[in-house]
Amino acid sequence: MHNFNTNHEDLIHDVSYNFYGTRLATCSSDQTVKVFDLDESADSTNWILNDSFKAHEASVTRVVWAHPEFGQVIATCSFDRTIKIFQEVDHEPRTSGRRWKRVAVLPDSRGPVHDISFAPVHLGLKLAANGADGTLRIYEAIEPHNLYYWSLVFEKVVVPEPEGAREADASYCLSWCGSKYAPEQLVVGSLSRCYIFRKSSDDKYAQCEELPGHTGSLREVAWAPSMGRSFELVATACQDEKVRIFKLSPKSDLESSQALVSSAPDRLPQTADTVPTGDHKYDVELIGEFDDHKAQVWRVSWNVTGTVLASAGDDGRIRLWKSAYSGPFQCMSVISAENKCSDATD
Amino acid sequence: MRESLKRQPSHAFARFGQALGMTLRSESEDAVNEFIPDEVPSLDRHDEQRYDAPVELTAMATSPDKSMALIAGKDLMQILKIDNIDGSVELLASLKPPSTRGDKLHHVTSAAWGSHLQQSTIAIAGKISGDVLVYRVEEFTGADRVMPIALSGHSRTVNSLDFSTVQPSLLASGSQDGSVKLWDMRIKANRAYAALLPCLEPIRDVKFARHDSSKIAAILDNGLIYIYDIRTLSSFSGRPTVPERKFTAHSGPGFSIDWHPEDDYLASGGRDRYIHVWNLASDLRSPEFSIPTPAAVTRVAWRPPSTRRGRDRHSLLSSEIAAVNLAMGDYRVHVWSLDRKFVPKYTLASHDAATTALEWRDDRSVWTASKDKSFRCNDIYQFQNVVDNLRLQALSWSPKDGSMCAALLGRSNKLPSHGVPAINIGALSHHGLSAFARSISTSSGKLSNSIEMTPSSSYLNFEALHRISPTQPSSFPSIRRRETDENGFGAGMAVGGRSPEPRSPFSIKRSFDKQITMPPGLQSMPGSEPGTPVPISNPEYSTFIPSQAIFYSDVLDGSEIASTFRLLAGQIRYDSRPKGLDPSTDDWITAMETVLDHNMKTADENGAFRTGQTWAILKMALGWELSNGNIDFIYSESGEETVIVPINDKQSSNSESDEEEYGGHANKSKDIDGEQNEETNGVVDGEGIPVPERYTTINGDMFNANEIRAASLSDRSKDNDDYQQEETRKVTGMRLRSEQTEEAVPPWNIRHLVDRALEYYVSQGDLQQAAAIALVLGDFLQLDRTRTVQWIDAYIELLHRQQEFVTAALIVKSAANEEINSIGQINADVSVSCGSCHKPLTLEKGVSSLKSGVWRCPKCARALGKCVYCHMPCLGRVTLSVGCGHFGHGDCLKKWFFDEGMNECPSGCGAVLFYR
Repeated sequence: MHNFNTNHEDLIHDVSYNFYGTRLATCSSDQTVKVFDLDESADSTNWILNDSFKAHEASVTRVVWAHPEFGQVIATCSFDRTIKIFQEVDHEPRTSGRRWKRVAVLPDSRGPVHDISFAPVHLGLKLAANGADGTLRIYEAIEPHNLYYWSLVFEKVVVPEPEGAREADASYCLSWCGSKYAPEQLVVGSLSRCYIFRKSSDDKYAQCEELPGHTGSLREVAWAPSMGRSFELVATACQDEKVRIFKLSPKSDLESSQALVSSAPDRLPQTADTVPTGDHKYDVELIGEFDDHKAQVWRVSWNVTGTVLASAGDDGRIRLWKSAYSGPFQCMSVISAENKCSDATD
Repeated sequence: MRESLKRQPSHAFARFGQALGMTLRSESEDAVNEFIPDEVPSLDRHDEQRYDAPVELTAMATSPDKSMALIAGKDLMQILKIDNIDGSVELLASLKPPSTRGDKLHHVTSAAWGSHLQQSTIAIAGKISGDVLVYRVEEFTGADRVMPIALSGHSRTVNSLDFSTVQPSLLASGSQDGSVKLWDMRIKANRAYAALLPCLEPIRDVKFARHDSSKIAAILDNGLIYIYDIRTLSSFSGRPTVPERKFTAHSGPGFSIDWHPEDDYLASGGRDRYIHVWNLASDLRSPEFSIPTPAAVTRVAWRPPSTRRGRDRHSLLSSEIAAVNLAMGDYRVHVWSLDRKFVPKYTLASHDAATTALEWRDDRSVWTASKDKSFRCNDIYQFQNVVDNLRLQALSWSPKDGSMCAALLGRSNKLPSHGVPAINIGALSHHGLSAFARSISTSSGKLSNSIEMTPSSSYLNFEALHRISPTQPSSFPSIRRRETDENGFGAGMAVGGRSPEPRSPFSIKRSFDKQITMPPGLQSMPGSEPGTPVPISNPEYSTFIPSQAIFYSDVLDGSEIASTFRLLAGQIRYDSRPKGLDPSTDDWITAMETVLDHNMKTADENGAFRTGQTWAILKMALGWELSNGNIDFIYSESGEETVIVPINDKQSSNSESDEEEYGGHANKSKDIDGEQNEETNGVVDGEGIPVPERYTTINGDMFNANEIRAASLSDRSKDNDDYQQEETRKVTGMRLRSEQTEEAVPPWNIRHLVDRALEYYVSQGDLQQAAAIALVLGDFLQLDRTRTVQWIDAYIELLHRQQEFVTAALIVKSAANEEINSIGQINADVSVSCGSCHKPLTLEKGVSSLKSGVWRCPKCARALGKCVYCHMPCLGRVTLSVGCGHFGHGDCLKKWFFDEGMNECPSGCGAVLFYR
């Protein structure tokens, strides 16, 4: 086991590997982003600081890598209400603080931006963001080699903004479906509501299925890499101390057309809201609901093949979940920190 | 919860008091004694006070007893009576300030309320006139018209007013005209007692020290802070005096200052988005603390100390500052603690427009006046601690070797933590690639009986796995955290255990030597004795840094699994098509067998025995099918060859899947039932031997071939035509006969086996095996094409992540599938504008020897697609360095690398491209 000190001066909110797992970006409340490179010369796991730079004027909540096809590009979002895009500048020396050049600032959000995510590479260079103004935004760099211009291609209020003081425990998150063989879609968690947004045939994003049952703010959603499975998996981390895993099974054409007809009256009240609803393509089934953390769950993350789910919560532990062969998900491991303090037991 | 709010005068104050020969009465002491009920409101107090004014509020002042407030806005001033017990707010008086000398006050810019002896005196100043209007509060009751005393002297707007708390008769005013004037309320002549600081820079804020009668500080528009000792003023002369100290506080305009209630510290805020805290005992070259805030800081105010916060009382680190930021759309007030400069402790969100004035009522509530026309009292405990809503955990799976990188902190959900959760880190590791190459067993072993392909799992024992790090999964309020959060760190940090004896509140351990810069004045100070109150400048201190470090580890052999994946990726074969243009059926069979055999051996050599076993069984299963004559060969006419090529490939794939299916099935049956498995193997072996004969039989069997074509083509009549022209045909593939001639399908039926094997591998995330099976046997078995493509595609992505580009390219090239073949052949970009300046590109002809001309940006004169060696445009194919991205003509680069013997990129970027 190795550890390395990032020298961040406050909480680290996110770590993110690049596509190849050879670089690591971290972001922190100390307003900086740091990029580390894996020392590949030896067969080691040393991480060498590439650069550290002040990225925002407030806590940086997420850092994400774009696909390497678009170059060495990271995006960050922050409580300072902006999203920034940084690109590596080769000729600047390492650890100079200038190696990552800010190429774009997306200031549209009217509240802290909680989560951003690059769309899978086959959809182009797209970035989705969800923040405290309850609005889902999708940006696209129309010319991927030109990172200076991002156009806002979609903007929709998912949930109305909560009143003042309640803003404190609000949280917003999203995750793209990475499958090339599914329509363009993403899962969006805003407060305690969790919806799937899908690009419909008329090239617009529509709010479709809801993943029900959350009784607190959603802290993170994660759409599993589907890797050729016949169904999709979405995991959610929730303030209500539960990790949930949803299975989305495609409806057959016949079913979906029937469902369209039969569910039409049901959907009427929903359309009365500002958000139009789209066709339901999946049967949503809750296949796992775990309260093992006994504390708020903040992170869920699938491994690269979408077979193991890691969840982390305020109990300071990481739990790994895996489904037995065609069986239910089970906790296969608890990664916990040594408990030196006796009064810190659960 | 009930505790007296009465405070003891601090030692620092006592010293000053003696020095000045003054009484020890202080404004805060008075206030507490007289007005705050001898009862600490409970934490669940909900008495939010609110008053809605008719105009936008621009100034506010509160009486020292906190029972009245003056709010003012455009041409309006109101006095509110506030009942702090039940929280009610009522309007006591409302009046329009009279115009003086014909000028209207317009917006009131500043207001002040006198302290004890002058506690009925209020002063306001407006935007247009430079006059300060002084009222007596008593006059408001019942009077129709109140005539204020106008203090004239400033030539421009007065930005700030402040009454001294120690010499209550003194009023200071700081003006846009660049001067601070002192007024003595006891003197009837409306003349300034003293004028300070005539300079060209407007004064933004002026404040008397609260603990010290002699000091007054002013902050200027150029970011300077001036501090005067008023004892040195030449009284009544009006002659300007020199400041006692003068230092640059902000790099832009300074907006606000506030003295620490008890100690010689000054907080300042400016447009440069910083709150700085200055230790006046130091040389003031740099601030003692700096808090970077999200936007320009327009108001700062120290939180009054509280006995309720107990031992933190004398610690500067535990001091907090409320600040108003001037940000578009963000109207929140933040309360910052000095020990944590990046995350505000509380964020008060109550106004819908900019907050213009801010004052602490007591140590837990803040009065604010805002342009949203409201005056409010915000109980800070009504707002959630900001840290409570911050994510303390970060984790990410490595795509490279399936290890996990994480930073962990925990948080107790039982304690209402006003402090920062104390903790350490976590860390971790592991394992993910297991998903690539192997499946994972659960610790409970439930996986192992589900299917025969469950791996032996000896290398995954999660329970024994990790002891990640000495982490504290819970939180501690305040002070304790500093002692505990070092426990987790090991090297690289000063490690301190928890001290068994009670610590002084001041002796906060330093956690990071390198990150703390001790002001020179403090470094030599001795540590304090436990339990002794110590002046604030003494404590050893450090700012709080969560000891969150990133751990990264490979406990689970993740790298080994990854290297197996990479080895296998490069070595196993995905293509079973025979070499040569004109394969015979023998060639097909030999090719199939070779591939399966090769893959089996490769897997075994690399330690992937289960994978190898799967391939072996597939080979045997294929042999069985062959021996039973279930394989059909597909022929094509020479004339239709081009059309049939895909079918051809598909068929070869099919044959491979067939083989694999067989293996998977045998494997399964073995796991389920040992006897049956052996039997299966026996059968396979027995039938495997005569395979070549079967092939020849099939080859010679016209009917069989005909049937194959019939199966492959939907149009039977066409088939018959083909059949008649058979002699001109070549073998283009083979496939498993879809309609089994056997009446009973044996348990090792290859299609059945492959289906289950694929399902298993896909569910376990072993895309390498799934894709390999699909590539080798997909067409032969006529697997669902859509899903096959998905598996292969997913495998290619994994290969890319492993940087196995060559293998990925081979698969793209060799796969019998247009979707896969076309990867990389779509999405061409054509630039029509310059990448750096966005001007449209122009085509220049005649500049070079190229007939086609050069596309060039007219502005930055940068040609696109220049060869890195000869600087001439490249057209068509280029040689690209994957490492640095530079490219050039193949010939040029050849010349550079081979003729000139260089090994670095010709661009000079330093990338070494050749290792000789």
